[in-house]
Amino acid sequence: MKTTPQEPLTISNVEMAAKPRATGRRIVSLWFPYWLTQTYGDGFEDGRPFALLEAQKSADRLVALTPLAEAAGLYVGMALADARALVPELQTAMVSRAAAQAKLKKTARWLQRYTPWVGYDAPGQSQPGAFALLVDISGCAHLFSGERAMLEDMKARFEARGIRLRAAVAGTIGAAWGLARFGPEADIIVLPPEQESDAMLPLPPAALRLPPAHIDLCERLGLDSIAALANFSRPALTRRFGALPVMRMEQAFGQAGEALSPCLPAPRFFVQQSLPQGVTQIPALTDLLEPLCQPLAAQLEAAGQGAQRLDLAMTRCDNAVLALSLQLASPSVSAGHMASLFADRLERLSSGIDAGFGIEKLVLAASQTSPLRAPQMAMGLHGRRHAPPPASALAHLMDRLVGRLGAQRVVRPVAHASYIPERAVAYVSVLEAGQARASTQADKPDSVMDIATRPLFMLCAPEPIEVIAEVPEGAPYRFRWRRVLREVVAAQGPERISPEWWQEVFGQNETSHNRQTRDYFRVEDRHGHRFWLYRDGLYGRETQRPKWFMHGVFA
Amino acid sequence: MNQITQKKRIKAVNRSKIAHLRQKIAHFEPVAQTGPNIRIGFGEPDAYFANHVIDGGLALGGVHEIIAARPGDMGAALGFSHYLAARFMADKATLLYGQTHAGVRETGQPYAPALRSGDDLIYLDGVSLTDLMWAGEEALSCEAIGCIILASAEATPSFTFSRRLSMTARSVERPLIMALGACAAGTASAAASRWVVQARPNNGWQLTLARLRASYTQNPPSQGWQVFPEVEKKLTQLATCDVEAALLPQTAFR
Repeated sequence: MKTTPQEPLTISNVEMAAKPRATGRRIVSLWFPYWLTQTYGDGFEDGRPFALLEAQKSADRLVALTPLAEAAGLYVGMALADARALVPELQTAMVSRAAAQAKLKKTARWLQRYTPWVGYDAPGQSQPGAFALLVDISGCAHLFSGERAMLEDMKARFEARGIRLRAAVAGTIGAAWGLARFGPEADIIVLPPEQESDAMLPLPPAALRLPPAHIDLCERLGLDSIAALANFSRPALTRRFGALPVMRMEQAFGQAGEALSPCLPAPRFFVQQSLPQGVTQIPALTDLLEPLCQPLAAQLEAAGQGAQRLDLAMTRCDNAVLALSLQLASPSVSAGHMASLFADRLERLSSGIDAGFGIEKLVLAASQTSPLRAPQMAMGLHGRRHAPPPASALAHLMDRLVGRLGAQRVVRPVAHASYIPERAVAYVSVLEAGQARASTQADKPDSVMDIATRPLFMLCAPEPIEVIAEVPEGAPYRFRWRRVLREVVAAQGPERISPEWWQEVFGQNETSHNRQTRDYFRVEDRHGHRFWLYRDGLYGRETQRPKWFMHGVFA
Repeated sequence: MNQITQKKRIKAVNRSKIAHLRQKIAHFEPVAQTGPNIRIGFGEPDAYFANHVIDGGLALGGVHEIIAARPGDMGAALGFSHYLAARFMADKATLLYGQTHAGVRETGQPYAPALRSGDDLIYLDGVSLTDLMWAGEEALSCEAIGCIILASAEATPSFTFSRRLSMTARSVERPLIMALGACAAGTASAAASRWVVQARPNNGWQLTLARLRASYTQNPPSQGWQVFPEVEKKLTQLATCDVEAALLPQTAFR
């Protein structure tokens, strides 16, 4: 059982209370109207209109514009040919939404300098392609000398990078969202507390975060403001539009609650340390780790949890964040162990980490934890004398191996219920092997096969060999593997392994590379080398020219 | 004349120096080991150990090198390595098996259903030789690991590596088996024992004890022993059938 800290609440709690609830929350909605074009990067001249294209329905259409292009009369959705006719000097590029989204994510991370509670605009609330963030600044604004000053500061920083920003702060998510997009002309709107309904009523219905279908319907019915909508009784509105407009209205007016899910959930267990002087030497950081790990280990131990994943974030003077994360093989509360793992990692990375002008903050978080279980002690004298080594010894070794060699290199075998030899066992990283073993333990094949009939080593993929056999169904007489001709002096077989038709019937595996019967032979050559090879396909019934493969080596 | 006396003097100085160094080495490295040890489980080698080795068995604490006699004998060398590992790990403890990239290419991955240690195995899949040696040293200091096998078919670890591992293994009294390719024959090492393994017909191994640190005799016997591991015995009877007999329907429908 894993506990993810701070399960974000996404379903808002709708209450049919008419009176606004004074929550004291202050939410900022940040809207970047030209995010796609303004974060595109270099490669276009500032003085000429610029637009981003996307191939839609066999035509290139504009999907994002700069203010200049908008002023020239272009609009989103216009075909490129039309746009060129209108504005011959138009510069264009293909849009990359993933890159823009990644930049938004980075921005969300950066905004944590103002407050830890930064969230994306939930999908579906805004039109596609809108890039916006929600920030909860309750109780933070005074640190930046007031809300307006804080927003001015944000705006100045974005504008220094050429990004247009519209921001509104209000007591509810809905009001901040609506005001940022449909509010007064000013780029920064600060709504005093408990005036949400007054400010929202004159705005168009689109300010309520409604889907396009609802907005169309409002337009057709001549409902041009939220006030017009609010005039109807709630049951009437619900009958005509469904529950959404009423819910959105109540959320905007503060009559219903709405949760803001942070995009980076705050970890439950973390410690941080400021380094006012800045540390430039990575080895010096290593010495700071153990004192940092101790309070975290104490926190974890007090809660009965062990760390499974540790994230170390090192903030540089220039606000860049260097992150290191570790996955542990089993939950741990040992500060010394955690510190030594990070020290290993830092030592190996010391040439790759650029500390710049110094690292001034360390945050160590246990982002994934599981309950600690006390080990079962053996009873009686005999048990005490032959006490098994502590399980933590093995876990510590695995952590150290994974830390240096990588999780994919340190593996354990996990048995699967299959007769196909290469499927009977799979190597799984030690970090996942614990769970994988527990889940497959039940459906192991119950007939234990004689270990002598299986090779000690199995080739990663069967290798084709040239074979001369005396009779088509028989064992090979002579074969050539890796360019060496070998003469068979003794052979045993065949051991016939049929394809697992039930796997295909029930669609459990899509990677069945072969649907033919295999006849396995154990052969020994003149020098005493022993091999495991097979003929793929029954001669005559499944194939006319069966192929032979080398599959394993015996001791 | 003068030259000869000078040479003699240098020789004498060297001799005393060498004797001094030998004393020094003997001081921190006892020639005869008296630690826990195991029987190998085959008649002839065990008889040799009983008669010629102080302990009477193969020392648990130490590095044991298993070398393939010919390039194709890596399978046999690895088989003997796993056999020894199973003897070392009398109680059920975890086996650590590490292999270099070339080993993975040549012999593939260990097939857990055929291993004597069962699936209580940690496998390091295709790592560099340096990382392999590092992992060996880490694992030696872990009490939950019963035995370590490091396999490198193409490269031989340097003397420094083998000495480091030997000293660690001796101090913690845990075994480490190094399975090496044919190219390792004759290289310097600090291992407690060195075996050369050759596959023999009828599922046998030709074991040659090339070096042994703890022996009374200066040189172990060079001829080696032919052994047939027990698990394979049943196989022998089956496998000696000739090609015609193999055609008889022995088909196992699974």
